[in-house]
Amino acid sequence: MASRSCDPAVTSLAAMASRRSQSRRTSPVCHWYVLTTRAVHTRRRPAPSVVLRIQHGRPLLHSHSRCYLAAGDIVFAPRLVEENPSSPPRELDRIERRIVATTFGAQLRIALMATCLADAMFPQAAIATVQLLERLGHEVVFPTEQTCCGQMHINTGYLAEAAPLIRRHVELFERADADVVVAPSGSCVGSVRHQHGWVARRSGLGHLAQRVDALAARTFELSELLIDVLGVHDVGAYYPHHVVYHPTCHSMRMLCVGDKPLQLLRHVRGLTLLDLPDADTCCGFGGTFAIKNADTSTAMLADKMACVIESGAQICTAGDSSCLMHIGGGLSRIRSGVRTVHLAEILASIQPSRPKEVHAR
Amino acid sequence: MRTFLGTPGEGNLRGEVPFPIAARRELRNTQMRRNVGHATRTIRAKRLAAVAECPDWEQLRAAGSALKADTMARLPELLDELERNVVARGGCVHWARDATEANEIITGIVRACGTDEIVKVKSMATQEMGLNEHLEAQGIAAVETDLAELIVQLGRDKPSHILVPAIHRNRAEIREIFRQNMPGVDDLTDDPQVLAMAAREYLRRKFLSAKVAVSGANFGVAETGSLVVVESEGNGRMCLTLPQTLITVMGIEKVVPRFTDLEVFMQLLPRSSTAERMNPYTSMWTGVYPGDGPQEFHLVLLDNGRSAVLADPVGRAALHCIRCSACLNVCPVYERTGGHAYGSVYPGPIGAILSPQLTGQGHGDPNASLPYASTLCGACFDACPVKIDIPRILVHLRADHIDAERDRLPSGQDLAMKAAAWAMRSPRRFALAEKALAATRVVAGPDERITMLPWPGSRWTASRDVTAPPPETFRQWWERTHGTERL
Repeated sequence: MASRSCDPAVTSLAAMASRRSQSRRTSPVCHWYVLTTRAVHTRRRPAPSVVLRIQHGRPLLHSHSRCYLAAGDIVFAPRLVEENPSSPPRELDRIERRIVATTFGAQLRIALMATCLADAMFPQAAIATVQLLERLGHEVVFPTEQTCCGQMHINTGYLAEAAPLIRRHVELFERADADVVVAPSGSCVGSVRHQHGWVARRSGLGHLAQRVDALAARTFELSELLIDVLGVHDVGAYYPHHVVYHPTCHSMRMLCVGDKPLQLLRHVRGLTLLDLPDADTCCGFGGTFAIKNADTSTAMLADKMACVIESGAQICTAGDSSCLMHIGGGLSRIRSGVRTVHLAEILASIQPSRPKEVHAR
Repeated sequence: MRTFLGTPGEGNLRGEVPFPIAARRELRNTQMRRNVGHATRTIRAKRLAAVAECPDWEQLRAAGSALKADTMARLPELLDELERNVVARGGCVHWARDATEANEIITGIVRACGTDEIVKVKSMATQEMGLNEHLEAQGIAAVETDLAELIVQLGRDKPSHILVPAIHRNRAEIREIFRQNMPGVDDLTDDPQVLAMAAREYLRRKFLSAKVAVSGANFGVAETGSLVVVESEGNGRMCLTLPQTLITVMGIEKVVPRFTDLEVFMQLLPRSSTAERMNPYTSMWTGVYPGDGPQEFHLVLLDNGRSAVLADPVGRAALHCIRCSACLNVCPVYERTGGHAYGSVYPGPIGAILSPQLTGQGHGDPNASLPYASTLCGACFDACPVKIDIPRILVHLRADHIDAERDRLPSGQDLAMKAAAWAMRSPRRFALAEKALAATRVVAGPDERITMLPWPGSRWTASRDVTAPPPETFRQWWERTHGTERL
């Protein structure tokens, strides 16, 4: 993962550019500034330049067509060139919007990958994601033809069946023309970022591989999006409950989100965050494992539930509806009095819980 | 249909029943659950502490991984070099295609020495081959000298862990085993010190009288023809130096190119396996030395399916394993099911990728269930000192298995997966499937919980509730609040 800081030179340049445009607030045209950059992430080719566009006093980042910047790339800006304000600089033939760890307060166009499970069974996770990102001032789009990323098929060994799903996913989300893609699921994002590439290559979709990788590079799990891309730790949430956080295996080990979800939860007003013993241990869901190896899955669930109950929390949260379905299903069966709520729902919550929300959904 | 390279692995590499069935039985063994749970939890914490002391741990892992990849890329030439150097120093090299050949070779050597009892240093390879059983059938007693292996042997049991094979036993059980099966033992308490002393007495007699020893090898250095055995108890040192004839069985993947490569592995192995900073008894020997140590040295190189593993560009990383067992100790599945559920002498995460590749995953083979014995949580990958991407290989083997079964009648799972993929390929069908799902709201109680589902859903509802499908799906909500504009 690329560095999370943005070069101070760029910050000050952006501030200067912003101030300049402020003074021309009445002018309807936009202003273009070319910054030279170097993408630090080793997997990307060095980016020749980034174009900073100031429109209506708000900076929007455009980049050179061959520049695959991602959140956290360090952008150096040794020179600032003010080009013809009425048209983009000549040497750029195709401009695509990309994302940068923002200190610019840019509004992003965010495509939502709802995930098949949330869409069908736990819509509140996806709804909360939309509400949260809109509240933070971003444009959320939902490519309505999406269905599934194919993770279930991939992990059960049905790669040939997953391949068309991967192709659909790439085509749909490219068409959405968004800056980033977000999903309220560590495992789905893990699949997109770490499985789509090699499954595509292995299943006769090698010609799509580069597009698959490019899309994967700008697909984020919710806590990653908030902290790395949007630079937000306090989302202005209010959730007065005792909560324990379960780090799901894919988000923890595949995406390496670290303690980002905990950072977000710590800024939620009214929330008491409790410690989960043996947090790192898998809950036992594992996709079709929960059915094919139901006995072992239950044994692992029993221990996870014991830890959740021991923590004293009334709510167990995580960034994955699938694990929550498993843990919540167990907690419900044993009438534990603890329920599961998706991380997005907590972060989107801005009002005191109404009585009807006390019952688990 | 894939062609199997070489001959499939034989021996103790598969169980009788698939993993889910074996696991169900093992989960009920409360003694094993307690022992394995406690032991893995303890050593997990110790390993983390030992690893945290190394500021360059990640570089060591990367170096180990690269060394092993290099080794696998030139395995044939390295094995030739190893043979040349062993022979040049007075040793004898035998090449065994499979377990049967290896067993025969060893029996022949032992017979030629005119003895009917040998001592053994712990060796996973010989367990894989079933050497002890074979020798016993030939009238030759093979005495295990590693304490845990001795316990397993005297108890007529099977090992359940590659490093601590008797982990499923407690001290009371061990006392009973010694009392009943160890000659010359009368009264014993179950104090660990007392038990260890009893074993020590018994084994001393064996060490001093043995003429032939059989060992495994942790590493075989091609450059010098040296073999390396790494152990904690000293029994290895006894067996490698006292008898007249030494036979070492080594899986062909254990070769390392140069002596200096051991620098990396000797740091990775102790910290990963027993959480020690340095291995207690490290023995290295090359050929024979007149008048000192064994005067006859035989190296048996064992294939037993390893060529087939090597042929798979993704799966071959399983051959990088240095048998440290760190993955077993962090695996939440292994912690609860124990080693016996896997059926093979190689259990746990590494066993789930190695055993099915050694034997093949034929139709109905219990080993085909091993790659599914995992939630893909990735703890093993994090712990592996040579960075074997076990989750990736597990999915790869699952895909191999499904592909191999495609020309058969579809199973229930095949039909369900194909139906799901068919529905997911079209947004219209997906929306219809969601509507069908919503119809199941009727079976939920007033608390919106479904507590019973028909098979295979019954496997879920046996221990978990499931929330009723919501009255409105996400896309229905989106359409209602944001409109139907297509992107």
